[in-house]
Amino acid sequence: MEKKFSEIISDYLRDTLKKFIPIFWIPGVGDKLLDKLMNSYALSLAWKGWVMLSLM
Amino acid sequence: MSKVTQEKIKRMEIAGLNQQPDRVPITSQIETFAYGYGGTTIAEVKKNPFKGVAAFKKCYEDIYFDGFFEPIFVHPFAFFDGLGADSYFASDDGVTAQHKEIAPMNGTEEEYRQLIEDPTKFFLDVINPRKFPNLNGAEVDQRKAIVNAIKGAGGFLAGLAGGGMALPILTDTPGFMGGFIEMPYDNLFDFLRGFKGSSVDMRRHPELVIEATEAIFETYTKECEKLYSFLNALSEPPRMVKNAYNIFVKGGEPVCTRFPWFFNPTHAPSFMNQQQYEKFYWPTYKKTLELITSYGGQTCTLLEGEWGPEKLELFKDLEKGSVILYVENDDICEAKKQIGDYQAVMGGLPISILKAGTKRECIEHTMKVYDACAPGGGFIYTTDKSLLSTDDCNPDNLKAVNEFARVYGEY
Repeated sequence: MEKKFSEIISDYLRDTLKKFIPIFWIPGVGDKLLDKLMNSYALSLAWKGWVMLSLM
Repeated sequence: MSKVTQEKIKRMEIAGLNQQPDRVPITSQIETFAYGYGGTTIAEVKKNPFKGVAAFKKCYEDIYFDGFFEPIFVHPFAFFDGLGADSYFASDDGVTAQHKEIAPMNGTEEEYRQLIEDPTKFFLDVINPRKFPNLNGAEVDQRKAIVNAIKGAGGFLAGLAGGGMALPILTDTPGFMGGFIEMPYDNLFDFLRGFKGSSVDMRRHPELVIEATEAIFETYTKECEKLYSFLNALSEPPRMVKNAYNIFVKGGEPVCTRFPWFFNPTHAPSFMNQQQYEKFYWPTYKKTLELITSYGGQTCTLLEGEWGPEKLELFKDLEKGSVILYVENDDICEAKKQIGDYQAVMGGLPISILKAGTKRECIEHTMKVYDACAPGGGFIYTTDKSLLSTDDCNPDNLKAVNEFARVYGEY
């Protein structure tokens, strides 16, 4: 099934964070931390930054 | 921060609170005019945002202001280029910014329901791909578009934040835009349904339009304002850090100061009759203005077009001194008479007279407006419209007016 744009941008962000932030490389811990971050209020708020610009 | 800058901030803040400062503050409403005046173009600023900051710096050095509107043109062209959109573009002169209407949402009940259910998801999954050609290909191409857009946004934000912090130091003039607001109904009007579509929707399914503006306010506007509030704390890094912790970690709200103001250009009201305005626009407009007041901030709301006295009357329902009414085509002297006991007013200098009038005519006009609006305070002088093109005004007239006004406006 074709991915929605919200999934593409979310996956892009996840991959980028994992690539550049060493804490997310730790086996068994990194992925859990990343999941937590991706589902956090802080990140959902940060999405609004993209939406705000893209809506203009 | 220099003593001169502090005095200007105090002057702007007091006038904004509808009180009397030492003299009438004068603000800039300069946008891409600055690029022509400073010898650069939109194309050059896309590549190097600091060329834009330098152009604005030249304006604020050459022309007297107590506060400036922006340190760089506030629409991120490079972000849109990355996504393949042409909603914003430069005129043939390379300087004047223009935008065209894009209405990517259709007005069906189904789309309204999706919008109401989750505005952010709707904007991302439905509106983004319709609006941006580069978000319609394979995932790998969409990722490239995201990277290009983020690069464009990064340069723009560096110019906005860097210029916002540097220009007050370099020019002894503070920026007055400490946040930005797009009102909930204007999101529909400007970015989703357009002029024709939103006019039809108000008649075809009014209840859905009301529900949509409420949903946008509750789940989108409220959160956007938390992000925009960082502009309010740009000159106070400790407050910015404290707000960041409170907002991102604790899910709380920002603590703002009255100055610099949240800036809000309104677009739909001048095209609405009083009944439509009260039904569709005012409820979430009022809530948004009160939200900013609850942060401790203040909103400078630009009343684009001609509103008429009936619509202005509703600003009496807000806390006294909580908003600044920036008047465009309404008679500012009449607006001051009507609403001056409640809210501050701003504007008064038509760009048409700056463009075609003599210095003497510009100064005589200034005297007339000051005589009517300055007594008692709560008045800020600026052009009635933004300066976008180098042809929009004769800079010598603006220099002469502002030099005259800073003396004539002393209390």
